[in-house]
Amino acid sequence: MSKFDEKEIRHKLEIISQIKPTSQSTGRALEKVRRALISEEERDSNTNLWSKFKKSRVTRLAAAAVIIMAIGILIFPHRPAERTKPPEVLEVTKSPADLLTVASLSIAYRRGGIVEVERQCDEAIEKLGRRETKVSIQELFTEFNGT
Amino acid sequence: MKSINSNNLTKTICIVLVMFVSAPAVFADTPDNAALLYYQAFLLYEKPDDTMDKMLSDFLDDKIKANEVIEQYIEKNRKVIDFIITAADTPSCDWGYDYSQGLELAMPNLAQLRQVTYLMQTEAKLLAEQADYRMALEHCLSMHKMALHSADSTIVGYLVAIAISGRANSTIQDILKDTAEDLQTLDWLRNQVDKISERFPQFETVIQHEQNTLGIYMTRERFYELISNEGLVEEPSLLKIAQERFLAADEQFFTRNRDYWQSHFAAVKAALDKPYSQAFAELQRVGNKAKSDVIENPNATATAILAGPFDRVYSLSVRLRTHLNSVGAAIDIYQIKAKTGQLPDSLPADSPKDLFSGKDFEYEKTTEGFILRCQGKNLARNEIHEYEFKVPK
Amino acid sequence: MRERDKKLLEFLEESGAYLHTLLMRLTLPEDISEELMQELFIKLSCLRDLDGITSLRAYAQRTAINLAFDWRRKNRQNAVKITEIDKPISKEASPLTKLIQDEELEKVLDVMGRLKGAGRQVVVMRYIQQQSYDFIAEQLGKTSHQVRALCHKALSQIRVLLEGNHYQVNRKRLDNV
Repeated sequence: MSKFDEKEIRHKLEIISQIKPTSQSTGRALEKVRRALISEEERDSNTNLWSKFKKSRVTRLAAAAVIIMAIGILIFPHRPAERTKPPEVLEVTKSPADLLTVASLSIAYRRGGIVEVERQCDEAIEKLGRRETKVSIQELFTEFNGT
Repeated sequence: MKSINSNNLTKTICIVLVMFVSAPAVFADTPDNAALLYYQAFLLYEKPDDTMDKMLSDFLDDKIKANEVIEQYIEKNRKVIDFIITAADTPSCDWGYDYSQGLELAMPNLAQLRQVTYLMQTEAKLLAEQADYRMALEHCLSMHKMALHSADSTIVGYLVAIAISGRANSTIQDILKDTAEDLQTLDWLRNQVDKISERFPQFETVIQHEQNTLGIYMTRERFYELISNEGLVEEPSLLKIAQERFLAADEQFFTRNRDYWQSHFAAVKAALDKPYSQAFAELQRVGNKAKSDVIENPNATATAILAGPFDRVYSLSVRLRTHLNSVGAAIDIYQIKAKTGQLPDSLPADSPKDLFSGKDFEYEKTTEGFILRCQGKNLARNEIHEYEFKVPK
Repeated sequence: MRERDKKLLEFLEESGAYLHTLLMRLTLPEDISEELMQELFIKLSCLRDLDGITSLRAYAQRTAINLAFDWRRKNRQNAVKITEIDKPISKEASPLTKLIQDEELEKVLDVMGRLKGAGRQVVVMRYIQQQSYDFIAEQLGKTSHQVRALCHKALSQIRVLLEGNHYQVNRKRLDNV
């Protein structure tokens, strides 16, 4: 094979760029796609009938659930005044560093398996929060100069 | 004199110039330690806000389809992805852990590694959707390599590695149907999956590491650290027993605890030589023994606090390997289909096995493709796993 | 007819010929480009929230390029030679030169299939579809400068791959595990 330089490569690509399909071929391609799209639409419209039916059943069930809940609320009204407030508990929140030690993650695993480990990792990331990845020159000068 | 000095000066200048010219050029080469690249990626990665997070999560769960917002998010993190790909391809990864810190060792890199894995998985799905299957599969293999880097020998690192590899396998499972007729890609992928399978650390390595690193607590000073730091011992009743015993402890207490610890691990390692169901039962028995012994036997104190739930981690390890094996077996089937045009009637000979039973997977053809079903149960979850693979219509 | 299908049919009328030409330039046999056109539009109709796409043409073009190179990779042995299809032939070239040229064209196309997504797409759009840097930049959501840089880098990679060396950045990915 001859040694290629980029000029050669561009020349080859230019040759390829001049290839054109015949109009019959393009016509055939477009017609096949049209037919494929139309037949897919017909197939989907049959399944759509089914999904509409399912949806309407689901809608009916959902409506029934709402009615049952509404009845429940009427029979057992919520009386906030009578509820006793739970004692206030001072929650000591853990830092991301605390959440991500071997001990903490091991305890998380024993408590809730790998799902709990992943949840704790997510919690730590949440606490680390979003941070700037860029600092402007102006900000740096301001820091140095104290103004 | 003047001419001699100027000659010397000229000579010196020439020598210095020659040294500069002949000095090796400084190439911007990638570091040998993948962790340096990962840390750079973590620093560049901007955590998505809640809305974006939900969208990505729904996309990965197939609840929503791809959209331009997701594509833009990926493009925004292009540099992060480039760093991750290079890091994943770097053989060696040293996170710089100081294992002498024992249970207090922080591993923030694991949480970040999980986050960027989601990024890779998202792009893999987008690429597959745009018919760039090979690149999508490359991303999945990068995820596997990231998992290998996570699995440093601690149980926690191993667990995160299992989670990452599991996601990689699931994504490969989804993409395979689109490469079902591409024999070249299937051959390549089969080869890669075999290599990943060989390289994934054995559970025995993790056990040995636990034995060594947590064995540091078998001295008076380190045991005191263990029982005086609230976050290290979960069960209050166990902590109370340990504190009481510590107050009365002599040096023999720590020696005997060390011996009990070693014998505990000897039993754990012996269990791992057995087939899965027996190994699981034995690991459960050994784990429960330490917990029950501690009431009457002071020698079991440290072990009861420190020993991990090895039965469950072992099951997870077997599950991951089995999933990987199912992908390998599926590729064997796809290869036959690509050559003959039909799914085979039975599993090809020498296909990778279901590690829960040690036997071949059960192979069942379906209208959508085929299912590979384990013949043994995952005893930790009381579940039989099956893996579905689709073929194009 | 559903809105979605109407939109796709309109898109077919508007850009179908363009996409078919693109597919043909990358794969060569007429029947293959016709098949890939079908596959492309079925993919569009099944997978995408069409209303969420700013430029359906850019998306379809990207997918078409991927489908074409995917096909090339699967069917390298059966790929039709450029001699078998119409293309402008240099009047002065001898038959041997033409044969060498055809093989080299195939190699260039094969090697392009090994480039990463953005670089490959930019090279196809710039040199095969003959589009301007500004237009490509607009389609890809990048600046012209970035597109030029991508193009230059991609051509370098093609050159190195043709010379039988692995490109430094891609080396490890090509060598795999």
